[in-house]
Amino acid sequence: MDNNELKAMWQDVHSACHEYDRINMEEVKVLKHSKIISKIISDQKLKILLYSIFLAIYCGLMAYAFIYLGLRLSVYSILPLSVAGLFILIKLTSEIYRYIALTKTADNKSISESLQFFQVELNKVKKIDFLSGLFFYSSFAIGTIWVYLKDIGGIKNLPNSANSLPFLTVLILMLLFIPWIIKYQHNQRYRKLYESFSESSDFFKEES
Amino acid sequence: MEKEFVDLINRYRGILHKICNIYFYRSPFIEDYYQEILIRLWKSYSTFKNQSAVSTWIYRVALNTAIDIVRMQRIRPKLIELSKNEYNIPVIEPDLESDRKDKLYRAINTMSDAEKAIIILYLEDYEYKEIAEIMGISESNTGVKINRIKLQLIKILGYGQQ
Repeated sequence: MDNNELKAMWQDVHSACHEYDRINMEEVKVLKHSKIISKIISDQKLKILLYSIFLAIYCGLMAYAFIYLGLRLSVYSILPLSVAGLFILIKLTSEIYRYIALTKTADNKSISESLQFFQVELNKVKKIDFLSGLFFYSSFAIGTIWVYLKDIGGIKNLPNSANSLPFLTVLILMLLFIPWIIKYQHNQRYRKLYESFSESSDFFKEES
Repeated sequence: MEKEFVDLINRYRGILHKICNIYFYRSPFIEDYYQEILIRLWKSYSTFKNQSAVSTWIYRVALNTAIDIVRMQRIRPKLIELSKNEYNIPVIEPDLESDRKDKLYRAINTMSDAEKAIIILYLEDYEYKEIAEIMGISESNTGVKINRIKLQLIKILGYGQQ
C-alpha cells in the first residue's frame, strides 16, 4: 500500500458517510453543553455546592457561637474547630480549580497551544492539592507537637503515657507524609492524562 | 449570523463527522459529542474575526473540542458507563461492508490524539502550511510528522491485510 492508496481508502470508506441527522441546530444555539458533557460538569458543580454548603453551615455556626452567643473559648478549643473549617475551605478550593480545569477552553488556539494550556491548568490543580495538603497537615502536626510539649489536657500524665512518644512520632510522620500521598494519588488518578501529555509533548518536538 | 453559521456547518458537516469518527469511533455517544462540537463552534463563532481561513478555524475548534472530550473521559472515566438508554442512541453493529472502514479506524485509533489530528488533515488533502497552522508546529516539522505517521499507518494496515 502506498500514500495514494491510503488517501483513496480514506475517500472510499467515507463515500457513504453516516450522518447524525438528529442534530437540532436550535438546540445547539441555546445549550451550553451536550448532555454527556453537562453531566460531567454538573457533577463537579454539585461537589462545589456541597462543600459551599458545609462551609456556610460552619461559618454560620461559628458566627452564632462566637458573635451571637458571645462564646469565649481557649485557644486549645478553637484550634480543632479551625482545623475543621480549614479542611472544608481547602476541599472547596481544590474542587473549584478542578471545575476550572474542566471548563476552561482554548478552542481558537492551535492544538499544541491548547495542549500546553490544559497541562498548565491540570498542574495548577496538582499544585493546589499538594500545597494545601502540605499546609493543612503540617499545621496539624505542629499543633499536635505543641499540645504534647505544653502538656495540654494532662496528656503526659495519662496511663501508659510512656508509650505515647513513639505513637506521637509515628502520627507526626504520617501527617507529614500525607501531602506526598495526595500527590501520588493525583498522579495515579490522572495517569492516562499525563501519559497522553507526554506522548503529545514528544510529538510536538521539532524534528528534521 | 445564525443562517451563516448553519450554512457553514452544512458545508463542513462531512469533516466534522470524520473528526467524530476518528476520536469516538463506535462510541454510543458519538452524536452527543458531535453536538458538543457544534455548540463549541457556535460559541466561538462570534469571536471568529477572519484572522484565519474558515476551514482552519473549524478544524481548530472541532479538533480541540474532540481532544477535550477525550481528556474529560480520562479525568472522569465514569462517564462512559452512563446508560445508553438515557440517550436513546442505537449501537451500530459491524457489517462486512464496514470492514475496510473498521480496519482503517482501528489503525488510526492506535495513534495519539495529536497524531490523529494531523493524519485526518493530511487525508483530507490539506496543505502542509494549513496543517502546520492548525497544529501549531513548523511546516517542515509537519512534513516529517506526516511521513512518519503515514508509514506507521501503512505498516499497520499492511499487516492487517495479510
